[in-house]
Amino acid sequence: MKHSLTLTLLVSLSLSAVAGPEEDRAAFVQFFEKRFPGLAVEDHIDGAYALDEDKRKQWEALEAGFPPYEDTVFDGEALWDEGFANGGSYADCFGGSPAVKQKYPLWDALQGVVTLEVAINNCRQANGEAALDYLDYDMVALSAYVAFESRDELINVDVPDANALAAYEEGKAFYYQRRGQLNFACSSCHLEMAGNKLRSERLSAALGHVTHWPSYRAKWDEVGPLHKRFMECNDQVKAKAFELQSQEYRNLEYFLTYMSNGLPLNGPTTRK
Amino acid sequence: MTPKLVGLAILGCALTNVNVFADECDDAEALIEKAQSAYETVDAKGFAWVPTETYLADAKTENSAGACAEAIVRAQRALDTANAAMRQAEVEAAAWQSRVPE
Repeated sequence: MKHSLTLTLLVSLSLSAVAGPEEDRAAFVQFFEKRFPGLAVEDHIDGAYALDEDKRKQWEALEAGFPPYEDTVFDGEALWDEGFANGGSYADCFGGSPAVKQKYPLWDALQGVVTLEVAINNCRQANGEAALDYLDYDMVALSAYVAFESRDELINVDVPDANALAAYEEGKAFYYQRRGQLNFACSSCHLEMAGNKLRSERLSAALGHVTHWPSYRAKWDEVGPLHKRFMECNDQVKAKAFELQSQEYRNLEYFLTYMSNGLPLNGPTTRK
Repeated sequence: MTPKLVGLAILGCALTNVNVFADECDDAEALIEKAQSAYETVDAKGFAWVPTETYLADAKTENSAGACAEAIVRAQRALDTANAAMRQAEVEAAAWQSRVPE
């Protein structure tokens, strides 16, 4: 009896030391539930606007009128419908519907973490077209259209095998590692200090961070992708940023998206 | 002192100064190489800092322009920040785990 109790204790200790993605997600969600007891988990898809009533009102007014990402979505729709010179189309690659963002990033044995943007380029290349630069307007427009069509779908990413888990773990480590001369981790601002103010800005919670990309950021004066925001965050703490769609950022997106599994998509949107 | 001696003294001083400058530029070159190597090592670990890049670029520009004393100062800063970034990378190899919510 004594031995079996010891064994059970050892097994449970070793399991907690190597918590899997689902255990990570549960603890992540619980952290924000405790920190913001007045908010439903789903409220966090609105980022800092879920935490600041005044800013929320301004944001809602902007969204209700003529949101600045609207033209980009229309342009993306036109590109989606236009198809390729060989007669193929984006719809052929994505199972007939643009409402697919909830599945991305997904794991591919050959390519590793495949984000929506990588999948768009895969589709283009499979149809004899050149890959687009990840900041190219057409790429942003296509991903904005897919995001728009995927609104309200629930994020459902999967970590199917050991290699996928390794990529997830790398993304997780990146998220919590301090970087740059200012010695900040992603988690420093968006977990430990979430809800606090950094100068005049309210720091959003990491939960729901991936639900609304690409987004129109007033600072950029254009719609841009999540990885551009990653680069900006790294730069703000004086860390050398990685390339858009680098393995580091794809793994980071994989981890961060898994943390928001089950939340509804609400992109594109506007941010300051 | 005869004019000949004065001339020799001036020439001596000038040659010494040229040597000092030449040594300074060699020192700058060596320090830049050392800083570059430290930067590349930490960059390969994914922990490079932006200021290191800036200091290195400035040091190279100053060295090319013959401002070797300034280049030494800048290259030393590049080396110092690269070394600090390396210490950060070493610490963060394990420290991040303490920040994961449980």
